[in-house]
Amino acid sequence: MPVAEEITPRPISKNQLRAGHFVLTAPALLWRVAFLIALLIAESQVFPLWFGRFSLTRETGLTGFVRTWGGDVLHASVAFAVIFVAVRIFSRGTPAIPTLRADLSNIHTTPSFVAAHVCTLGAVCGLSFFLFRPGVDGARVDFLCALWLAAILLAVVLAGCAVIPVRLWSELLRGTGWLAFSASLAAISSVLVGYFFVSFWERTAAWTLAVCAVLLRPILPNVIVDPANVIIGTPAFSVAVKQPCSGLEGIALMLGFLTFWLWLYRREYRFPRALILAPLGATASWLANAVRIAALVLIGNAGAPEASVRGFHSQAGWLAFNAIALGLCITTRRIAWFKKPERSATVSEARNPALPWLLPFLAVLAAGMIAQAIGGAGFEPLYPLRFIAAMAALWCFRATYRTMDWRVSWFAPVLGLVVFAVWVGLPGHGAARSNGLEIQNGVASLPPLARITWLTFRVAAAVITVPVCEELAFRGFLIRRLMRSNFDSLSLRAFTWPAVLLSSAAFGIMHGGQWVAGIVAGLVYSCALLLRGRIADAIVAHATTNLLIAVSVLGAGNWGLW
Amino acid sequence: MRKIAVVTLLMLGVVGVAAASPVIVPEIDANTASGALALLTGALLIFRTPKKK
Repeated sequence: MPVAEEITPRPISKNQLRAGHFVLTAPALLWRVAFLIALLIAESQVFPLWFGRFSLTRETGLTGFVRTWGGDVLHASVAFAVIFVAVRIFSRGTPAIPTLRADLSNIHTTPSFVAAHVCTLGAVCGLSFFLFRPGVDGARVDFLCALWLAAILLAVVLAGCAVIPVRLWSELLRGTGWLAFSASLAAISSVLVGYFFVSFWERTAAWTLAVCAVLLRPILPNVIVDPANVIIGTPAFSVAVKQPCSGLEGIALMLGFLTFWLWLYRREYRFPRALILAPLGATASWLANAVRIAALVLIGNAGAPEASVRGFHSQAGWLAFNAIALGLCITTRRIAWFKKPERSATVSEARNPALPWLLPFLAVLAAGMIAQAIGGAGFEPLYPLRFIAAMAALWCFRATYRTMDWRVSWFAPVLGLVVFAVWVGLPGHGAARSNGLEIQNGVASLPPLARITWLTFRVAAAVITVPVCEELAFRGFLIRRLMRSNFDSLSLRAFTWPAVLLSSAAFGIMHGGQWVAGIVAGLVYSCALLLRGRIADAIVAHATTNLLIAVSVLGAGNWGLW
Repeated sequence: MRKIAVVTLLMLGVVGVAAASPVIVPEIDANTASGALALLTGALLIFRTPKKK
C-alpha cells in the first residue's frame, strides 16, 4: 500500500458532526504526534535555551545536576523522538492504533492551550536570561533552575494538550505504550552505550595507530610513530589519532545501519547467517578508517596539508561508509548463502525506471564528495568535476529525456524569482554561508585562465546541471515514489500533500544550514511542476533562482550565497 | 521506499544524537553527513526499485 494512502487524514462526516462526536483516525493522530515532536525540536532551535553545559557555572545542587546531565537528557529525548516517529509512522507490522473518540467540546480548549504554551515559553526565556548570566551562583540559582525545569516541562505538556485533546492522551498511551516503553529503553541505552564506547576509544586508537604504521612503513621509510601521544607521520606532516578518529564512530554507524537494514528486510535474509554481516561490516569500517588516516599522512606529506586535513579528512570517511554499506547490500543480495530464494521470476533484459531520474543527481553528489576529498572543503578547485559527472550521466539517458515535455510556462521564471527573494531575504538562513570568504579568496588565488574556467563551470553547473539533476530527482522522482513503488505509472501532475512536504523537507535538509530556505524552495518548485505537470517548469524556476544567485555573487560580491 | 526512508531517518537520528551527545565528540560535519546519506539513500532507492522489461 502506498505511503501516502496510510497517512492522509480522513474527513469527518456530517453525521458524526451532528452527533456531537468526531473520529480521530490513526493516520491523523500520527501526524499530530509527528507535528508535536517537530514543533518541540523547532522551538528548541529557535528559542535559545542555552543547553550548553558550560553556560552554567554552578557545579553542585540541582544546577550542577543539569550542567552535568542536561546534555544526556537532550540526547535521550532526541533519540526517543526519532525512534518513536520512525518505527510508528513507517512500520507496517505493528498493530493499528484503534480509532479514538472524543467529545467535540474538548476541542474548544485547544486555542487556550496554545496561548498557555506560548506564555510558558516566554517564562522559559525569561528564566534562561537570569539563570545563564555569568557569575550567577548561590542557593538562589537552584531555585531558579527548578523553576526553569518546571517551566520547560509545563511548556511541553501544554504543547501536547494543544495538539492532541487531553482525554485522548490516555487512550494514545494505551495504544502505543509498548512503543513508548521500547523507544525510552532504546534512548536511555543509546546514552549508556555512548559512555561505554568512550572507555574503548583509547585502546582502539592505539590499534588504529599500529595498523597505520604497518600500512605506511613500506611507502614512507621516514615514518615517525609516537604511541604515547598517538601521533603518526613524517617530519614534514603528522597527525594525532585522537579518540574520535579511533574508528569507533565508523563502527557504530555501520552497526547501526546494518541493524536497521537487517531488521527491515529480515524476511529476505537467512538467519542467523545474515548476522555475520555485523562483524564483517564493523571490521571493514575500522580497516577503512586506518587506510583513511594513512592516506591523510601520504597526502599531507606530499605537500597538500590543507586538502588533507580539511577536505579528505571528512569526505573519505563518508565515501568509505557508503561504499561498504552499499557493497554489503548489493553483494549479499546476489549470494544465495545469505538470502532466501526470491518468489518472482527474474525479468530478462530488465531496465531500472529510477535510473534516468536519480543517477545524474547521485553522480553530482559523488563527484562533489570526491572533489572535496581531493581538493579540500570550502573552496573546491575541482568543482568542474560535478558538471562533467552530471553531463555524462544525463548523456547516458538522453533517449529517455527526449520523450518528456520540455515546454516552459510563463510562471516558471517568476517562481524562480520568488525563491531567490526568499533565499537572500531569510535572516540567518538564506544569508551568507560561512565559507563565502574561502571561496572568494580561493578564486582570487587562481591564475587568470584557471579563474575564468572555474567560474564558467561554476555558473554552468548552477544554471544547467544542478537544476536539471535536482529537479529530476526531487520533483520528478521522489514525489511520485513516495506515493507508489511503480512511480512511473503516475503522471507528473500526481501528488499528495505528504509526498510534497516530505520531498521538500528532504530537499531542504540537503542544503544544510540553509534548510529553511531549501524547504521553501522545494515547495515552490513543486508548485511549478504540479501546475501543468511539466518538469521543465520546475527546472527553469530552479535555474532562474541559481542564475540570480550567480549574478549576485559575481556582480555584488555576495560570495556567501555560494 | 518506506523501509529505505526509515533507514535514512534512523541514520539521520544516529548522526543527530551523536552531535547532541555531550559524551561523544563526533567528527561528523552536518553538510557532509547530509550529502553522504543522500547519496546512500539514492543508491539504495535505485537498487531496490523493481525492474521492468
